[in-house]
Amino acid sequence: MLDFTFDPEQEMLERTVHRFAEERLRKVFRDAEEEGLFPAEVVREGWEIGVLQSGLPEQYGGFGEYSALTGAIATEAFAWGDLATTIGIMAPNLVAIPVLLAGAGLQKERYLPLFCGPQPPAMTAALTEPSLKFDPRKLRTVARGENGNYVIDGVKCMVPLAHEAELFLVYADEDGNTQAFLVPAGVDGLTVANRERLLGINALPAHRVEFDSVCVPVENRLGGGDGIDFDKILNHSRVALGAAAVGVARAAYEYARDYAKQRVQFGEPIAYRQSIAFMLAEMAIDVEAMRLLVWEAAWKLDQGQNVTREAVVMKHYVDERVVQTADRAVQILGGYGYMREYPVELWLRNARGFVHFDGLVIV
Amino acid sequence: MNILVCVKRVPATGARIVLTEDERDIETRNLGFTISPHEECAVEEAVRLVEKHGGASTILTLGTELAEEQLRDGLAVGMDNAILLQTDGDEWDAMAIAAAIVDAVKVQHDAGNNFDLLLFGNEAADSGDYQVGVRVAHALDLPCVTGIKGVEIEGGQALARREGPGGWELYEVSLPAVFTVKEGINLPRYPSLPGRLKAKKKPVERVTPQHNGGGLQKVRLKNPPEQQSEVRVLGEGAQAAARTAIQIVDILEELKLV
Repeated sequence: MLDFTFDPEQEMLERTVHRFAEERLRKVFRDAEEEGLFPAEVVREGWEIGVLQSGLPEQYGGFGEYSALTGAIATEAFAWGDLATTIGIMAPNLVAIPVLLAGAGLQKERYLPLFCGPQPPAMTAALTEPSLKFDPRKLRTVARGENGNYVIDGVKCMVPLAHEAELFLVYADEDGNTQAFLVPAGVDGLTVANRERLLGINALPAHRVEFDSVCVPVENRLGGGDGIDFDKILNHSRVALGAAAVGVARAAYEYARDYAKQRVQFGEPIAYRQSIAFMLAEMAIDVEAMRLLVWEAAWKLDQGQNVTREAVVMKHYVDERVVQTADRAVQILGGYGYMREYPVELWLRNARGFVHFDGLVIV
Repeated sequence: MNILVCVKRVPATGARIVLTEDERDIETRNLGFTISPHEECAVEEAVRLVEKHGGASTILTLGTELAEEQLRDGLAVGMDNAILLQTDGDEWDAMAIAAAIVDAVKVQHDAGNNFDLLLFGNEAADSGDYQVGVRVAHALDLPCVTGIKGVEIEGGQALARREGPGGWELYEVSLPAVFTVKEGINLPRYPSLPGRLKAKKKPVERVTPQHNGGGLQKVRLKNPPEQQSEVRVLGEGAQAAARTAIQIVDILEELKLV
């Protein structure tokens, strides 16, 4: 059965990331959001904590200790600080984890060492499409084999850090299955179009990217002839996003709790009022429940189990509860909750994105 | 360059301190532990000096086996060796701690491990002690500069900078020397997970120190009374302005601020 004791490395990681989130992310997140400026230096510092690097095999320069559970512990702590910068810190994972999970031997040899250097490599993934019926299993972007190459056509949206990416992992439909292709920036037919204006996470540049008969050699198909098990990659993404949602929910809950304890109305702190106290109690319970579902799916992933069911159940639950928790935080702050001087309105906007993020982040 | 940094495991600052029932200790069940910000800076400075000049750095603490956590954190940011002067949790005052560190330094010296620089935090984050570094320097007959905010090494000498009233005090000190470091000398890096995994493989040397008695005994701890703040609304609206201005002056005089 599960053991909920962190090992010494997880304990240090949680403590370090939480401190980093408090000392760095919480210092820059509001200005970064307001100005739409990506805090690259802080993101680099977050990268140096080395969550991804430690998970890659030793032969490629890592430490061979990959664990979705350890990743979830770190992701929650990062996202408690700020979601946009968390996604920025973890953007290289969008390529590294699929290559680790599904890459062919030569692809691992070529790409994985790049993630073990001192600087995060400029790589990102393109999955989400601007379609009302977007379904990652039925993509409209298409890849077809042609004379020893693949030709890709389609349009992607919300591609994080696309403007500076040197390599894209592009998901496309190949004969009814979702497959992934490593596409270098600058190839003919690839256009990084306008930056998208989003409801939240405005510090993170996310772009529309167009593929017009983009041609890549067959060896750029992730996994070589075997291709990828897309569900497995998606499950890793769901666990990471779920953990980030727990971080956002916890931030909102803790802020509302502390506010309610010190805000005095009618002669006593509003936390003493049942209507507030009940809300806070339910928010606390939800955060714990969200986390347990994330940890269960992460732990089973680490055991090599197929977790599609657990991941979907978890994702459905956390997507809903993170919005509800952030919304209640806004409610508890009253008028202040709606003001940009306070962070909870941003957390509510960010929380609303989780339903749509599948494909934006794979950690 | 061979550097020793001495640190102390303390409750995470900012945490609410609850005392045990007998009021002899603090309740540690729900507390996080760390080292003081001064000591974090001392560790960072040691790592940087070794990166620049070569050599090795050692982190040392006196405490129970739980203090290994703080040593591992030091190893995770790049310290090379760790020594735990392991105690059973009994009270050690500054005199006894300094004596134990001096013993340990002498043992290292006899084993051929001579420290050029001994770094301490300027004061402990919990008890505010500032004695250990100075006592160690005195016992080892080494020069000592406290509260430094900068250090450079050149040709067997150290140049230490300390903030003085309206400027910097500069000290040229022959090595070996003892410095107590103040927060602000650098911005400590965060321990990385790869660093921590590397640190897992590094051994922690355990030594049972001799308790040479100290002069002090802890009788009882007491939480200071919480600071009260007071808010008074003197008036509202434009009409009240002239009247409240006079009242404000009265209050400032009452508080002896004008």
